[in-house]
Amino acid sequence: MSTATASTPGATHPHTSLGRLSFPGVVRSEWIKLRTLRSTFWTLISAVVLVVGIASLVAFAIPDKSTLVDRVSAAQRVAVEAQAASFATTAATAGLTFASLVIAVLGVLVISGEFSTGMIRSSFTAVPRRFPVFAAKTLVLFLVAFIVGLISSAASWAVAVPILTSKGYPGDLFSAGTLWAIVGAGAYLGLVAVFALGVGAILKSTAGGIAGALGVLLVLPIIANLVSGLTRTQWVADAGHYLISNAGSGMSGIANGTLEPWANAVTVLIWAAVAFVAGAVLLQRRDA
Amino acid sequence: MIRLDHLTKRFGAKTAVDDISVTIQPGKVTGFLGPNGAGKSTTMRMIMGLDRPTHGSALINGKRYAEFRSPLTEVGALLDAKAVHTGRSAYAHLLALAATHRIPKARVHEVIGMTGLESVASKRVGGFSLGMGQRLGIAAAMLGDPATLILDEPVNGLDPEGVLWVRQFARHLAGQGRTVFLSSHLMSEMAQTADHIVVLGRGRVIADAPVDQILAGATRHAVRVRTPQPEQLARAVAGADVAVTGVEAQLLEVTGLTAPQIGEAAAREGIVLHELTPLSASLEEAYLELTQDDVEYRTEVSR
Repeated sequence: MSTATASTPGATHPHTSLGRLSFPGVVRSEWIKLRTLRSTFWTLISAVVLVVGIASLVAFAIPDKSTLVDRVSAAQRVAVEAQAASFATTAATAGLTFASLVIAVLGVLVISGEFSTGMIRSSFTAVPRRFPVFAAKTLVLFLVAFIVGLISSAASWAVAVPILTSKGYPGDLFSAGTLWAIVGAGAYLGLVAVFALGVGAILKSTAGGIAGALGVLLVLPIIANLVSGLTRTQWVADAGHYLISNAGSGMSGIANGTLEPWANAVTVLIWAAVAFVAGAVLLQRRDA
Repeated sequence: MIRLDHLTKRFGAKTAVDDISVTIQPGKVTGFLGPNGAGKSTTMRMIMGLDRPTHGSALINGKRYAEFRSPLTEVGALLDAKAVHTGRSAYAHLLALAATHRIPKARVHEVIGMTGLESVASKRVGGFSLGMGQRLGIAAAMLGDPATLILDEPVNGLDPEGVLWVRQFARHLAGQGRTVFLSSHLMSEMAQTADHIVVLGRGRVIADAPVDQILAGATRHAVRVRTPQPEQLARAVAGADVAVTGVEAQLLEVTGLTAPQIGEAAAREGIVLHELTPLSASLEEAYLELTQDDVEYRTEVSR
């Protein structure tokens, strides 16, 4: 029973220097964590399917321009022509709202899954300063959501524009506007993921996190629309443009009030940054 | 070496850990004993920086855990077997933890072999038994080949073979000069594994002594005496180290004297005895007594 006490007191074990904690290492760890969960795979696949699938559906559903124009009276023709000019954008970005919801769920899960399973304690044992874990999660998640958003958005344009040009609508896959819309959609999905990650870190629970993130993304714009429509208050309508989902639509090429493209991007960035900072501060302060 | 200095943790009005000052020495297995809810896990979580102490400090080799530049190679901890994402495989879990410190893959395979997880390493942790989870937790703790090990209830859920393995493993690690600090709520388990025992009850240190001293001090040797003349007998055996307690009208318990000594004292006074039974409390009973009333035994066994 007391073999250990017989050993030389103060003897140290053969301590091999096995490794050292570093931020690139933490980023690698977070990448391993993300790619070794099935939920990641399924959410990303469904995001791509939603963006490309809905874009194709909408593009197919829009009737030929000649049919459309023939149906309306001469007086209305100008208005229809103006609308028809943006059909390519409408179709290509139609799935983005749904994809943003799926990406938001992934963002919440990345952190809430660690809290619900207790994994967070293993993570914080390996990286006791905690912030590097959150920063690495944010970086990896942003990049993954951005790249998936970029690919699926490019694919949705690539599908929608040829279909619609064959129906007589204007559309240019390689115009600066289209390219910016694709990059904007990717960046928006990346920032939505970061926003949701922050919400997940604040609320710690999967159910609460998803409810919170989807509430902001989905419910707030509806409420803003209802209130401004029913009460005809202009300031509510104006404020609605600064909601993350509306500004995100603005980033991906859809007109969002009178907001400039950069204003849309900054608005989304602020939403993501606020959630990130609040999440980081709370992770640091609370017991794990 | 782990040094706890006036360590205190309050959750609202409840004090989970109450002003603990203990030093855990390297080269020994130190058992951390106490009933459920005594504050063992909270203490260990504070050492690992997962819970913030309300007051006091917990230092490992003179540093707070978060101050280490390479924490996993300094301290390995199994705080609870469930600190794993259930959707990930055991291998992926260990790989992700190892990546933070750039610990090579070969070491991941090594700890999997060390803990006997080869056959289930690629399976998702959600389907693991408690025992498998414990092994995975120990594998994670060993990733960095740390000089200090903190294991919270490591034998919980293990089969007898697993219990034996943990016991030998802990002894082996301490034999290499490492600091091994493991908790349990089972006295018998600790008696077989630990060199030194710290007993915690209701958040306070009740005892902090080498294991043999704890056993000697805590194991109660009483003698049950049945006699129609209890008052006379109490007077006959009275002495500095002798305690007599009445159980029933004619039934006494005497501690501090052996049965022959009591019998002889009774014979000298001509006291009639109907029963004279030596009682020896089991380890578990002694431990229960130790933790039931932390004040009474505090001075007896603490240093």
